Amino acid sequence: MNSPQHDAERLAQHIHATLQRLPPLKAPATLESRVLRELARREARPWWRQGFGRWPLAARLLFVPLSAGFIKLAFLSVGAFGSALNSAQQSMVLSTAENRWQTLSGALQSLQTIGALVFQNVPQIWIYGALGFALLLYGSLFGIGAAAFRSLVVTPHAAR
Amino acid sequence: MHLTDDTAVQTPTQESPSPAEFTTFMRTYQNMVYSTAARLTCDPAQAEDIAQEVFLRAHRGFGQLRGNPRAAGWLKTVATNLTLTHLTRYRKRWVFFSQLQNDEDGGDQTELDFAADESVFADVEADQRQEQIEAALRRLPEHQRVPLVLFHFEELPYEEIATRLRVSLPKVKTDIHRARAALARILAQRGIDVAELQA
Repeated sequence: MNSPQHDAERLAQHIHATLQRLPPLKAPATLESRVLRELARREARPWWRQGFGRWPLAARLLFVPLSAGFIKLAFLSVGAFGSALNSAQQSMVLSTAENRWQTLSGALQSLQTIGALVFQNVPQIWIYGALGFALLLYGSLFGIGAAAFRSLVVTPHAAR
Repeated sequence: MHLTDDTAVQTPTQESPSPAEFTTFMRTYQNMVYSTAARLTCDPAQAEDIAQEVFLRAHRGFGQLRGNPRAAGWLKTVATNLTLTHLTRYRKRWVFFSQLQNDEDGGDQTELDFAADESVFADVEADQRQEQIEAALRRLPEHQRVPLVLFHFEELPYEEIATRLRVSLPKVKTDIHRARAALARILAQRGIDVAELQA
């Protein structure tokens, strides 16, 4: 009588030999034409939309000094813009930021007041009941989703 | 030269192949690439998409693949990686639900029969058997089929499969063991004994 371990090893050997002997699946006839069509589409793109390595040599050679020039220009612009700002403009910007902060903090305080009013006036049993109901709904929807996923996605072939 | 699965992505084309040359290259390897993706995904459309992407990457790095004896291995590795990446998009759901499925599958291990001396199905043609085995593979749930294919077709060790799928080593071993049993059972239902196939 064979032991379960021995049976498992024999099964593994049989399955391995069986699967190894399977010939490769035949690729669809459309694969070759799809690849060639996609390659042609990519080849047809203008050179500046292709990889840097495929740019014309002159464009590649020009690209480096032009990029360096743009970077230098950007730094110079930022510096010039910073020095052009006067103190009046700075104070105006600061006061605008201060106003925004005050609005935000006012809104937060209002929210806090509304929350406190709700907790004072609505019975706590209602609040906990509503939270429990929401959790129950969430759990039910998750369960339905899980059942649908398992029946439609995980075991689609078994379902057929 | 060392080929990695990203070689073609990182290396600019040194010498683009002619369409005829690349077509010949594709014809040599397309079945292998497609099989790798199709057996893992079990979805012909997705497998074709993945195979297309593999060959587009191969085209970009064709300078290194041309005449390279390791080209087949490189293509297979890229196909496997792309397919697993595709499956990984659903990994969290897959791992979670496969754990549930495992719990339910616990009692389905039945005794297996081996190596009967005679078979009433000896006249079944080889290609029909191959199709039946492929169909049986497709019937396995994904959490069993993917590690089984990686182990028996791609010949990856258990540890690497666990790393790639980001699941524990015991789970990989259990899933593969159950996949073999389920495969043998499905084939037995169709009158095929895996032990006889080796004869």
